[in-house]
Amino acid sequence: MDRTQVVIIGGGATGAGILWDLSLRGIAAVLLEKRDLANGATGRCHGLLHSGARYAVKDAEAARECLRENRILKTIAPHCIHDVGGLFVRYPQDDPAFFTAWDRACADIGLPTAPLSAAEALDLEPNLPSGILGASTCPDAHVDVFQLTLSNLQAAVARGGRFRAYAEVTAIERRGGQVTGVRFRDTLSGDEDSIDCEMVVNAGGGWAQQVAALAGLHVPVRCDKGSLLVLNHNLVTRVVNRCRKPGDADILVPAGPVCILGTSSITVSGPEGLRAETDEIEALLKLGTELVPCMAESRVLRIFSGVRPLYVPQGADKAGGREISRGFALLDHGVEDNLDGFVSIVGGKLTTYRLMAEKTCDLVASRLGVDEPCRTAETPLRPPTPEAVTRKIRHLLPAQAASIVERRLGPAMAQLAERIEADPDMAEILCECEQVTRAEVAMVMAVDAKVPVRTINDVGRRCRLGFGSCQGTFCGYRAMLEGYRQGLWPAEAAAADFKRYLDERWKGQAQIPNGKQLEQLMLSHDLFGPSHHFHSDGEG
Amino acid sequence: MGRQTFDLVVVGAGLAGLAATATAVAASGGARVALVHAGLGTFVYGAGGVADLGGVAADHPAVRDFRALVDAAGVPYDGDLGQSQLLPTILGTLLPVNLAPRSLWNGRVRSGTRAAVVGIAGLSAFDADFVAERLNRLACGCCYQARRIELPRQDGLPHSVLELANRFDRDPAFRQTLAEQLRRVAADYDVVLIPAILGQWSDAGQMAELETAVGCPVAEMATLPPSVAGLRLSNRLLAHLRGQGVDIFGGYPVTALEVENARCRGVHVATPGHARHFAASAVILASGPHSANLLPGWSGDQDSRRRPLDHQGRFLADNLYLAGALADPEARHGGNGRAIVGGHGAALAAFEREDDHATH
Repeated sequence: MDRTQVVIIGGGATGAGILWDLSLRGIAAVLLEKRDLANGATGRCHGLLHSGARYAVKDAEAARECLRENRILKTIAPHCIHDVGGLFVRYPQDDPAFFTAWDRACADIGLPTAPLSAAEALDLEPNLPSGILGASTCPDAHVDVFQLTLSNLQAAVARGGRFRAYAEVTAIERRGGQVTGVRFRDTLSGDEDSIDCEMVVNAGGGWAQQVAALAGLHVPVRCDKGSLLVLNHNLVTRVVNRCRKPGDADILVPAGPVCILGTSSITVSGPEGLRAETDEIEALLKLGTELVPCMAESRVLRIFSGVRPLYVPQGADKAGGREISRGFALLDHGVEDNLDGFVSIVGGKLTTYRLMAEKTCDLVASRLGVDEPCRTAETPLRPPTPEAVTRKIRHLLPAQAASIVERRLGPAMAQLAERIEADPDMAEILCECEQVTRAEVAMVMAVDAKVPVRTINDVGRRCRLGFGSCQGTFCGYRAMLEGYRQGLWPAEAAAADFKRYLDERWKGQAQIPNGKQLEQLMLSHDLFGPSHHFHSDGEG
Repeated sequence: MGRQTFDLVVVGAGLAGLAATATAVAASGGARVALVHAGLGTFVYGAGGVADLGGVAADHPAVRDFRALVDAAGVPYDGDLGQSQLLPTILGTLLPVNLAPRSLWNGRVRSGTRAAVVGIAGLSAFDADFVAERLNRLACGCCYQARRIELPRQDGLPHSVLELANRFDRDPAFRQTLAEQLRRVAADYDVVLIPAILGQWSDAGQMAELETAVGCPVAEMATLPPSVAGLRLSNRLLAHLRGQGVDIFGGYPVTALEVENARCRGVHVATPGHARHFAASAVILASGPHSANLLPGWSGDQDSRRRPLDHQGRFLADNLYLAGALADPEARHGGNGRAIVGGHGAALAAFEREDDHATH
């Protein structure tokens, strides 16, 4: 029988942040995630590190939180953040009263902004429409959500925390009014197991309601679907927000080599089986074209949907998706429901994940009688990279690959260098879009990796392989073979997983209306269907 | 100026466009034919195997003419339209085909044979162990064993299929090394299967030479793009047609058809620096399923002579013909036979029309 102090349920940014926070305080913890890291809202959002400007008018408190966390994350996790800055652009069709309200609200909370004339804004972002009235800067940024979640997990594991993917909690055990452990099932192998613990933290996000139900409790969470479009270039180089009351498709985030437009806001019954509807996509594209006209001709790589898990306290359940607070709630079920040792952290947003983790862990620590303060606000998620390691990698890899991998691996580039020096063939690039080498894929696949992989999709979440325009058609195949060579999976299992991988990638492109990416998708279907008799759309 | 005049402009270099061009050259006796294409046909990915003729007879003249074409181009096909065979793929599956270029056909499943699946050290895009392990599970009556050869590297770098193919084309010493390495492996086997690397330009004669040196049949397996076997087929067919007097404009998309009073006057082509216009007496559009935007007003239907019709059932132009996947979604890649038959038919229709016209 396995034992720990705390079991955390849910491997999004919040759950990973909690594992890291607890590990820093010396509290033993295991994080159980039913799929892989960042499978829920974390991995299905803009990747916008809010400055708070978006919420300044409506919710000053949420805006202040964002601003504080924005500054903290830029300090502790610079390798996860592209500090591109943001613009709030004033469009002639929007309400001028909001512009003044926005200026005042930002000033009130001390959010640093600077006004730009239309000409100045167009100078910075030539793809904005020429008719704009002006813009303001703000400290928005892009955050790589997978890297952020992974970094929290890696840091935690280095401190003794444990992460287990594909572990779905099937029961929360209790004795009287006290939580005593959880039972879980490996969703790939079907094996069942259990862990004894003193506390359970529900960080299930969109699944928080289902997790609470395992303990017989009701946690009201509203699932608000947001769909997003990935476009294959940086149409803008800063985060572009439409300066108006928050609405659909009014944020465009440059995210690495691509940019992401979103979102819609539609209440759905649950976090599973999400799908963007055709009219929803059309509406997003139409609004996106108002934001940046050249979007009409640009290539949509992929469409995805996530849910905002909104906490709906009693009496607030009549409000629509964007009216419910983006704030979070920490529920101590010992106090509220007479179940000691069970805590739910619900609502919130990516930008405030660390603060949510801090508040949760403060409560957990006090319940466990641990008197260690939170140190996540000042402890870097990753130690600095020794200059010698950076130099060595620059000798071993092409310049672009070296600079990209430095962000992803940091000091772990030392192991990358070792692998390439032992076998120079490992310097070959398997994923051109994200410049992922065979050596990096092999590292990600290593059995002793801090956050191990079990599927090709997992590999993508560790190193972004397959996120570019081929959407895994070529590099997914190469990753499958690499896993086969590394002994991660035998041939049949490799092929079966590659089919699942293709299905998932195809699904993300299935509703792309037209243009080059549709041709790319047909190429993928043709290659693996008629050309190689390997897999067809719709096959099991 | 950028203006040229042709009797026929074929748009698209997939199997439909190539078959149309070849048929037109043969049928017209000296007509001026242009072939304009933006990229390569999708047949390149699968190296051109024919599995389905869309219900036409096996002795259809289109097939006979196509086989004569590939023979003349030095990339002969083997097989029998009456009988399907299985070709092993790099994903360890078996692909049913009736006809295929000889170097692929060599690898067809024949009961009781021992086949070496040969990987090349440093070529990560192909894994012989993976292929052999999967093929053996299919219990097709053949025994597959993974083997590995070493070929000289360039600057110590890993190999790519294009690099190997280019060296096969240009370097006799490389061909000799490859043959020696394969011969060592071949001693224990009836056939050796390798990833397709045997030249982008090589012809049947060079393949035969290699096999003589190796001492047993050598079979290629198409890799994921770039597929050297497909590129070779495309390269040699285009070169052959150029040798037949066809003007080939590769790499340039057709941006619009010029249609006036139900007559197609020619095509506009996006070439670097300036747009060009090719005047034509007839146009065959074989540019694939993504080029329907070239046909404003098209209902999706066509008449018996493969001319696109508008919503009132009238042809868009009396000298404009369709072939390939644009006209027949089933002729998309995997429907290579349908593409060949369609291209052949469109070319005959185009010249029938021109003949009619001439007698008036």
